[in-house]
Amino acid sequence: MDSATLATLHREAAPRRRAAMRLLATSAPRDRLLREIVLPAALDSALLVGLLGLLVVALDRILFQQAVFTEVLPLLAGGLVLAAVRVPLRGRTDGRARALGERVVSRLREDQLGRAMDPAWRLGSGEDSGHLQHRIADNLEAITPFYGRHLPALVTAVIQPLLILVVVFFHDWLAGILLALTAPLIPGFMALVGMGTQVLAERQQTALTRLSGLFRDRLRALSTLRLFRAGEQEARDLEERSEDYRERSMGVLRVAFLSSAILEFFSAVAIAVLAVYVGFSLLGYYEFGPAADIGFFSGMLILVLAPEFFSPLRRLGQTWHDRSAALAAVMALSGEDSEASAFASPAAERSRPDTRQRLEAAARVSGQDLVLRIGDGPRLPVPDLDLEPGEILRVTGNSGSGKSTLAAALTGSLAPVSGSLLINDKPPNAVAPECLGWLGQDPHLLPGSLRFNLAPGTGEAPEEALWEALSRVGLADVVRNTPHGLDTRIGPGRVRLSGGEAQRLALARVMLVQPALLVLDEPTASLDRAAAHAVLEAISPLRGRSSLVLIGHDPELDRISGKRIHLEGAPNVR
Amino acid sequence: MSAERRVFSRLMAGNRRWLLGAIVLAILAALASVGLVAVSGWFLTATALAGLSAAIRLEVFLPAALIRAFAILRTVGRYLERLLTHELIFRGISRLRAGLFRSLSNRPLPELDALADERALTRLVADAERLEAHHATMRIPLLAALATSVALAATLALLLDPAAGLTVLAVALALAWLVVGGSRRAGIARAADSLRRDRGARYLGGLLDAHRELHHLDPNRGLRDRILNAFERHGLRETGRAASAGRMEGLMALLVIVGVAVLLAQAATVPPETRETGLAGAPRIALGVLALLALGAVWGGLHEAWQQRVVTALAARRLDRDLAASPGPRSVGTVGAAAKNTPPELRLEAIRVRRGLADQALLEDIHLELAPGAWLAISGRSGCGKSTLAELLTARLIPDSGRVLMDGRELSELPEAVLFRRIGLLQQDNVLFADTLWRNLVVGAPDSEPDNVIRALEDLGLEYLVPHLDTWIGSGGRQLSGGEARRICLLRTLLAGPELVILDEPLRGLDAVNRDRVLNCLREQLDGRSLLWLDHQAPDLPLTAHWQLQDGRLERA
Repeated sequence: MDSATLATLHREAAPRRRAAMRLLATSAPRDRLLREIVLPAALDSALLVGLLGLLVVALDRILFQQAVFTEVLPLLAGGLVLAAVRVPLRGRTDGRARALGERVVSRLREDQLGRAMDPAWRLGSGEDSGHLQHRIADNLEAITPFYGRHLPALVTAVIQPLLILVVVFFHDWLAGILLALTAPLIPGFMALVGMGTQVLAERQQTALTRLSGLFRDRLRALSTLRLFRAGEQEARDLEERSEDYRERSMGVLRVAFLSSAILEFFSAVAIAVLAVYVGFSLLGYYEFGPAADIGFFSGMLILVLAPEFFSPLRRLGQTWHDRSAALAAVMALSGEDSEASAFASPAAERSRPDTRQRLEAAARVSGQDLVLRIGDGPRLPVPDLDLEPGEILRVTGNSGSGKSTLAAALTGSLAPVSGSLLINDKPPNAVAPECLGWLGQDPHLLPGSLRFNLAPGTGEAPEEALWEALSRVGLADVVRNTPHGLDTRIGPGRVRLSGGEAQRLALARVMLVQPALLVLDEPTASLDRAAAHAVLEAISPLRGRSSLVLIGHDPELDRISGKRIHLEGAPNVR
Repeated sequence: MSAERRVFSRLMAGNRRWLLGAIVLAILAALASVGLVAVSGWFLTATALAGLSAAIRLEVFLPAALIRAFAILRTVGRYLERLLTHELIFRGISRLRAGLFRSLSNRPLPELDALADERALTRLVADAERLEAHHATMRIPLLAALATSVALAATLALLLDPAAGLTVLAVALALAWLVVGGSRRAGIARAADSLRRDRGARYLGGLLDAHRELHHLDPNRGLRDRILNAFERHGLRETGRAASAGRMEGLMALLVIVGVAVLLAQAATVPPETRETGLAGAPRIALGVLALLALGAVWGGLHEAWQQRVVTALAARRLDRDLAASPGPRSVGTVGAAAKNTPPELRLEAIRVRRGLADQALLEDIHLELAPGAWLAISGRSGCGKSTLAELLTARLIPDSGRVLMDGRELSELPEAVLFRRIGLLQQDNVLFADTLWRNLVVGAPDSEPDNVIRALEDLGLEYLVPHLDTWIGSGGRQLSGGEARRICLLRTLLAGPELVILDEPLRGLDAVNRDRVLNCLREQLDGRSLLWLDHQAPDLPLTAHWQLQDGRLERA
């Protein structure tokens, strides 16, 4: 990507970046910012100036007043005490700043996870869990250093130069003007640092990200590449492309690093100019203004303070990528949504679980003139349905006819466009979610023991109940024969269940809850015949205790009898 | 040689000159920044002395010129140092990544499944990035700080007295100990924590996958709260570490001040009568004090950077494992000049593949013979083991018992280059690379004639993609529909020219029109080659035989 395109991209993203910046700035309480970052930073700078002053006084006394050790001891001790006070102060500030960041991130994480675990939101957004996982676990973490590192550096970069400027002005206003001139006004300087480093950081990051993306892509496809005997060729290609990226990036960096070199240049030149000015004044070469009566103490103090005038600005430049990373993370959060929604809590807007209707027995389900639709998708009409408590409804239809959409509506994740869908005369989302059950084509078990997987919500269930559920799905003997029984751990790198076993375990899990309505969405679609039979046998005992909706066109499902509806799909589609 | 040394020497091989250049420049820049402040201090004191006493004659030109020279050297040195370290980083990237890729592409195929895991990939890429930045952020700055400290100690020992030199040396050693030793403990805790965090993130992935089930099974959100608490605990530990890192930086600053105080005390304890006078006295003391203050700035920030030390070491150890070339018994090999043109004869003998805890075997006593030129279809429902057959025939899976033979030789003994020249597989999933459409199509046959490729695209109803052959597809590029991707993957397999083509659900995601196009294209392209068709149904092709796979067994349909 050439620099012109990058600059355009940068400009285009500007409004979103500004919005993200606003959110970052307003997310931390103002009083805490003041108490935990601004005041300690001011105190730290004051201590630094004070201790350097004491040391310069001691130096002056030793060099020019022939002071002996006992005379300078109080000065040196004072300087050491001030320096020692800065140690816990620095620890406290860094810790508090980080804690502030953690607090903001943990609130964001809660909101994001709450949303990501909500089937209704997931249905609407269509985001896959790999993407969400990366966002919640990794992306959000990029926000903490903004508060932990960048903000303290920013605050110090404002306070410390100002404080030093005041001190220098007090001693020699001409030197003060020199300092202020070499650093062309602090705000202007910071803008220079900001723009320079930001563009630099972005360019370098884009180059590296693309390169890493390519590397990742090839690694992911490695086994396919080997099918085409292209492994070695791709390794060479990767090398060539990295070289190409190196050459192009270095071209960009050669220019981009100049902006930080300007900062370096100013700070080095300021020190040099000040030293020469003060030295020549002391020699009596300059006789105008304050130069005539500047003494060694003032001159040395100005010289010692000058590097500290610039060092916070340098540190700020080093933390600039924390700022860019945090902004990028916030912009990724808001994504397609409106800006504010990234920080709003959707969980709070929904009705709380305890206000929803609990159903003690099998549910009655009825649907009339029902039309369903996901997002901008086609409108899917559903034939009228009427299910008495404990009955079985079989739903068939071609792919795209809305079978899974109906499942989402029945479990309360999707409100109908028109018509009514009622469970015991209540809309599905007014029914307590634990009274409904859903099982799809591929069961999702969690890494952990069988015991945990059987009762993931409640944690502990009576041992007999677990065995009872396992025996109903025909897994009791199998589990009994494993060395660890219910404590057998499943998941990657552990015991692997077959698809059929996993599906039956998921069924046992549902049976332990005994939902009033259980929706089974193609439960046998990815199983061979024997495994499908075993799953269907495990479903049968649910009959009567729960109302069942059995979705799918697998002919094996015909072995279970019940009412039937057939979905035709959207009328204008083939 | 330790794992870490091995990886780093690999990373730096061929780049030693750049490394040396970066180190020299870093030392020069650090020396210049200390020198600038030190000479300024000397100059200021000397001018003050000269201003007080007419007896002292001061040559002002040389020091003023030295100050300007240091100012410029510092600026230019830092600029060039940054350029060189980045050059080094980029050079390291191409070496390390290509090396990693090569060594992974020599691994036995069944081991590659581990890379399908998204987090394993993330880990690998992050490890590589960590290592690449190691020299730039940790080693070079530490070396520069040490070298500058030693140079300053020697200078002060000569100019002032040996005790002053020793003071600076002692301060530098203490600083180095804080950076290397002090960051070690924090680093170990951080490394342990990052492992815990990774586990948490994996667990989060499981929860997100299971969100629909858990919405009903875990209405009180116990699991969600548990993972949020885990993240929060991690945050608390990070906060504690940030505070102690801050204290450590503060401690380093304190050490420098202690050194300055000692220097001043040393000067003050000399009785006034015996003190050096004139330019040999006060200006040199001022030089020492200011130089030590400036040295503090050179050491600043190193502690924070070195906290990554342990994590980097762990990354190096993991990468060393990944880099270890293990061609194993299945060498990738090269294609012999005498390429055969008759399709191979494949035999499955008494194959058994188990699954799960106690489920019926997926494949039970499978015998199958695929004669040269035969067109065979195996049909069966999802999950019946069709893809497993494809994996067996491409040596991706080793059966629990039984043998897979190609022309009488066990498949696992054949070099991969020979095997995949003769056998081509269209996988069930469409794996496209982030690259141009052209490169995606000819990955198995880079010398393809453009005319042939274009004609084949037309046959498959993709003629509208011909102007886009140079368009980037895959992640970050033009998005293709499922049906387009399917046909491109099929074409890619055919273009590679294998004598036996295995097609796993080739019609997936295609509508009736495109199904016919694919079948017509296959009729023409597969002339003289063998075909193994795996799908729910047998295709409308002149088949030699049609088998059905059900309950782990093959039956003639």
